[in-house]
Amino acid sequence: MKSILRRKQKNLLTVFSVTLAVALLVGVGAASNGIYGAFSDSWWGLNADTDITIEDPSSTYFPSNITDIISNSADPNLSTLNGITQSIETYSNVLYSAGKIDAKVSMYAIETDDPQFGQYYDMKGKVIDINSTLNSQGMPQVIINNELAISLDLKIGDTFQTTIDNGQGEPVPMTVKVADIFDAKLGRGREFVFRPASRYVINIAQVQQKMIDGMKDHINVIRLSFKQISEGGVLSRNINDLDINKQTFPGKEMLENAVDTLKEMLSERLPTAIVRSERNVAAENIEENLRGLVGVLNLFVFMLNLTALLLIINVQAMNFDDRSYQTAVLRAMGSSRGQIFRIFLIESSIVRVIGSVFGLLVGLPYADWMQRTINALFEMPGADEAKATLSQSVITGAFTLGVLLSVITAAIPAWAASGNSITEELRGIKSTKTKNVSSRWKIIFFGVLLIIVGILNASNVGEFWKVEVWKNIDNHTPIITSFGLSLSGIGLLVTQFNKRFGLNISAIAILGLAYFDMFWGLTIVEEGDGNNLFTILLLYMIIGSAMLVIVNFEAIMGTINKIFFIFTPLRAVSQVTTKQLIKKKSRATLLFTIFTIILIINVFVSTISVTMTESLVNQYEWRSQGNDILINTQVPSDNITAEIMNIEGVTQVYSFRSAMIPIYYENPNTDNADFDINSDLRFRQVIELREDILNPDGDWGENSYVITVERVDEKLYEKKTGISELELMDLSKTIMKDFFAERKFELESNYTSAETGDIKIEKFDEYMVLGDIFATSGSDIYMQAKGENGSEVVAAKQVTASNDFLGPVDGFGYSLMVTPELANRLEVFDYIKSPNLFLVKTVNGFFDDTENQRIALSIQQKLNNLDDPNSLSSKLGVLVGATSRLIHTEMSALWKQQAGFWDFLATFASIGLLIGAAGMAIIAMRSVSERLREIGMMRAIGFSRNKVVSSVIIEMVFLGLFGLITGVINGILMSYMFARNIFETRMVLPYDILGAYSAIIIGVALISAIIPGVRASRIAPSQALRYTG
Amino acid sequence: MTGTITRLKLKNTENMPLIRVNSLDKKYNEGKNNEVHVLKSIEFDIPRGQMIAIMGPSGCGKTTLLNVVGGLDKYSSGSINIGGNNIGEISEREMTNFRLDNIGFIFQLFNLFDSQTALENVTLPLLLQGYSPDDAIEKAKMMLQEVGLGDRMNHLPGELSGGQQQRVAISRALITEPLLILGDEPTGDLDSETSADIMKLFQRTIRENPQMSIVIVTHSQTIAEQCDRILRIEHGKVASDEVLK
Ligand SMILES: Nc1ncnc2c1ncn2[C@@H]1O[C@H](COP(=O)(O)OP(=O)(O)OP(=O)(O)O)[C@@H](O)[C@H]1O
Ligand SMILES: [Mg+2]
Repeated sequence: MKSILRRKQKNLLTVFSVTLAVALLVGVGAASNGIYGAFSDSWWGLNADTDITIEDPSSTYFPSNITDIISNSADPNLSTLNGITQSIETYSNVLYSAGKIDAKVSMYAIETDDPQFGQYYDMKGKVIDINSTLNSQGMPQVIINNELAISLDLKIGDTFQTTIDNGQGEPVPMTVKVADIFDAKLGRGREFVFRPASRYVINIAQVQQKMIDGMKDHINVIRLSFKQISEGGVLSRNINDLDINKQTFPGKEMLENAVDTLKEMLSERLPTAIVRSERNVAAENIEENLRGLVGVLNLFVFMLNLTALLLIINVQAMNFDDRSYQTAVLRAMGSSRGQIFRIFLIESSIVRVIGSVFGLLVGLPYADWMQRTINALFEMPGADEAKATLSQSVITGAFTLGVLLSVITAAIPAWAASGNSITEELRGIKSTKTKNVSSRWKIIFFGVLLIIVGILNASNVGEFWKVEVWKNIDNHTPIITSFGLSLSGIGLLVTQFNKRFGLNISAIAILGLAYFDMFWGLTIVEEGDGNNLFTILLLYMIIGSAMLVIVNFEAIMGTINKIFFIFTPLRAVSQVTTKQLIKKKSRATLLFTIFTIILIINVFVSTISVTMTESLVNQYEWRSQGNDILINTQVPSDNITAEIMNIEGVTQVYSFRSAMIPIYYENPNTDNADFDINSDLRFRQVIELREDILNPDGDWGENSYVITVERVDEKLYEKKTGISELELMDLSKTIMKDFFAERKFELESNYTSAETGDIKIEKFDEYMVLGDIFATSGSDIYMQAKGENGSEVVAAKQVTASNDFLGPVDGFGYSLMVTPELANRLEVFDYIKSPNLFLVKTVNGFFDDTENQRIALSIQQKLNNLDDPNSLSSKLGVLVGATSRLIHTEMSALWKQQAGFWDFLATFASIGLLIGAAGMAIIAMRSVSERLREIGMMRAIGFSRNKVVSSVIIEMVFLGLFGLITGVINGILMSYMFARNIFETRMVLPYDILGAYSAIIIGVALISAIIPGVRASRIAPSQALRYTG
Repeated sequence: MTGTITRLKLKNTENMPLIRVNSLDKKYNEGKNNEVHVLKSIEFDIPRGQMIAIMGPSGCGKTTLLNVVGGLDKYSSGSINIGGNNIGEISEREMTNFRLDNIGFIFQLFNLFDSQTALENVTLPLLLQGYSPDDAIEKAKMMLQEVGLGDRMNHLPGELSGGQQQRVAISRALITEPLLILGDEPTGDLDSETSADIMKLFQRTIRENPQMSIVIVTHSQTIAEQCDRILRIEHGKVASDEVLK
């Protein structure tokens, strides 16, 4: 204990580094837990007590007697069915109340007597009696959630207007009264995070009343609920029973069987129905959806923890380094090796446990912060009130790991120190081990082993010399690993002849492999997901460059010394300092590696963040082609275009018909065994393009709607890279002309019949559609269309060329643009006969949000305002439900979300700088204190105070500079690779941030050198000379 | 000399003794309750060309005296005059350069920079004086050869014996051709044969440079008797001053 207190300063630093490491472990454990937790929680919660949903995307409504077929079934797979309910659900509804509008509203028309599906709670947490509330006479009563209450400023007793569908796509006005407000975060009110936040719930009977005859019993969703384990079922909906990694939960199999049974059961009555369990989909997808994100985060965590570990090892090594003399004295006095080991271990363990406790104290608020940031970033419900969901295992894990790491890192050097040669330590001589025969054989053995393992590993990959193999990114990891192993092995063997040469071979091989893959391998990739590749490349870069510096450290220092020798006053200082650095090489390398890792990560993250920002904003200004505002209306009408044109400041309006339809990535034909509804179906917006509207002058000239082309499919169009904007515009016109030439392909599609195993060949009509990030350019997609004899599937080949501003409210870039010919074969357009989507050009610039917003609001008022007799809504007698979006604002929001993620990572990664700073401070302090005698000697032979200080400064600045240079170079290379291969954009270097990093590193180096350096130089030389360490 | 900083000149070099110490007092922790009065009214002269041994019981203040004379430590009162400069009156910076040019230190243990070879250790003062690296190496090599270490120049201190290390330290002290060598038990750790060698080296040096003086602290009567004069210190005072030759 005494010795702990005596060595106060050094131990404080140790405590500090352990604290940092444990805090990181806790914080980050919580964060990745938190990401999964937040997602699974909301995915899970959205279903409330619904286990299976049945919808039919091909027809808007279906008869409700389907429900009876299911509830009367005696199928054993449905034996634990607890309840079944029918409803009408719509998304993207528009509500109007006293001049205010909310465009992201969903309507739930439900049965009021189905308690199996859970309760709605009011804002005080009290259960709302649905049965009495929603069954009133007269004006329909609804309950709304608090989000809607806020957005339209609605209170209990208020009324609002909305438009519903009469069952045939025609809008019918409806006015309703707010009976209660329910909590969007509790019970059945909880909703899927990606669906509209605002919601109102109404009695299904009152909605059906407004429908035309023959449709009054129709519905569009059926929900099924099963008995939970406690009620005699096998199912658990408890979030804690969900195993994210194994993608399962109790009852998953039962639900799968039930889904199959239901599909079978409905195959005749409702052949196009989608039967699925969101719960199963969620269980299967949470991990997959978040793997990338959590993967990046975990990688960073791993790297940061590595730096923290290096820091601890460094501190540890120094502790024992400067106590080895003491050890020798103890041993000379007769203490056994074991006794000394115990003394050191106990002392250092106490210090580390203290560090771990502090780490937890710091880590908890840190974790809390991470959790909030993540929630806010992904717009999780209740981002502001979220608490870090710290599982006990994370806390105990981090704590144990912290202590364990500390003890291990303490034990190894303690054991080594306790075993040091007494005489050599007393003489102050570093033991210079002579290589003996057995260690030589060990090296050869390892070298050969590495080569063999490498070659064995390579056989997994096969023909790596063929370019084809590299096109699958999943082959890269094994190839690179095996080459890395083999070449390091060879290097190791070469060390037997020439140590430095051999190690250089290994270092260059490792580094070279990473660069080779980044600058060649990744550029030709066509398939695969390359799970661990990023980690491996990063590790290779770190290990390779660290090795390169370590192996050539003496040579590098020699060169630096030569350079300094040019400056007369620095000669002696430089000679002392470079030699000092060489002597403390291991510690220099550790610090250098810490800085390299930290800087690679930081430079990478900040470069990507800036790259994304700049490229997105610039890209979209160009892509917008002068379009400023997008208007959606809930009611299609031919009058809208003229109404908008009349608004001051509007220069041009393009109008479209648009609708959401299911799109399949695989042929959904029931015979196609490859088709999986969970992964192959997406609801997407289709937009009809009409040439007379888009090309009013018939010349694809100035007033035309011009799509922009970034990449063009090689099969349909020649692939061009590096062409000018003008050429791209020409290309866009070519594609437009081609598109309207009713380009129709015939595709021979063959697939295996699930029943007979025969290969069938069918002919599809294949169309050309335009879309952006929806699917890979040139890929086939399928949709249900009207054929000569009923419904059939048509295929379309997608060309990546578009303006992706026409997407649904929830996001851009996911729409498909179809020709009128294809649109007319899609059933949904039978109901949408007039335009409902409008692109507006104004006199203002793309970035002029204020003016454009003013115009957008005028358009909204002109179309919606039921209180104004001149508005279109008043004239038509129905709320048109127009909403407006500014393209620039939407793009910025989109950008903010993406950049937000990288900013978050940047903040997170910058914690690494703290570790670096701590490492620097520790080393500087050490370096000075253990050299105190030497400093006295320097002063005695004529080094001035300034020279002493500059010696410490040079030492620290070089350590920082090494890390800075290797880190920045590798970080930039990695960003370049990412920008080019993954984000497909030009890298933008954040010079200011890079400058800031350099300044920070140099600053930290200066401060950590100057403080102890000046202090030491102030000590009278006679005192310094008395110092014995 | 190509020094870049203005350096102190030695005044009245011919007639005056090289060093004159006048009623020198040194207290550690002055004014605090753990004050130690180490040197009390010390007075002595050192003429040029003399080798003086300082003797006395452990803790009597020998090292302190040497440090104070060499400007490594401050003194409480009195005066020290070296070559006409009162070292109590010159600045820290001037003192550093004065040391560089005129004083060579040799200590008992850990005398050398252990990360530097023998040769590099010896070149350091020359590099500080602004010598070109080539000249510095040339000069240092000659020096090391002179002390019989021609074949050990590229060894690190850890690879040299105690006597060899001490000879490197002496070479480093002599390389700038100082006027004063201060040695704190330079032979303290060495066997008698090696000590004798070192003493011979000192004697030769002073023969060749009659302008110079050497002061060494020693516990050994044999070593002391090889000097020109023995100054005994007891309880912080000069107890006896005995001229041998
Ligand atoms: N920094 C200090 N603070 C307080 N007292 C000190 C300090 N340095 C030395 N002393 C005391 O001053 C006295 C003289 O010390 P010094 O080292 O000069 O003795 P010395 O004659 O060289 O002894 P030795 O022959 O053992 O080397 C001793 O009593 C010592 O305890
Ligand atoms: Mg002494």
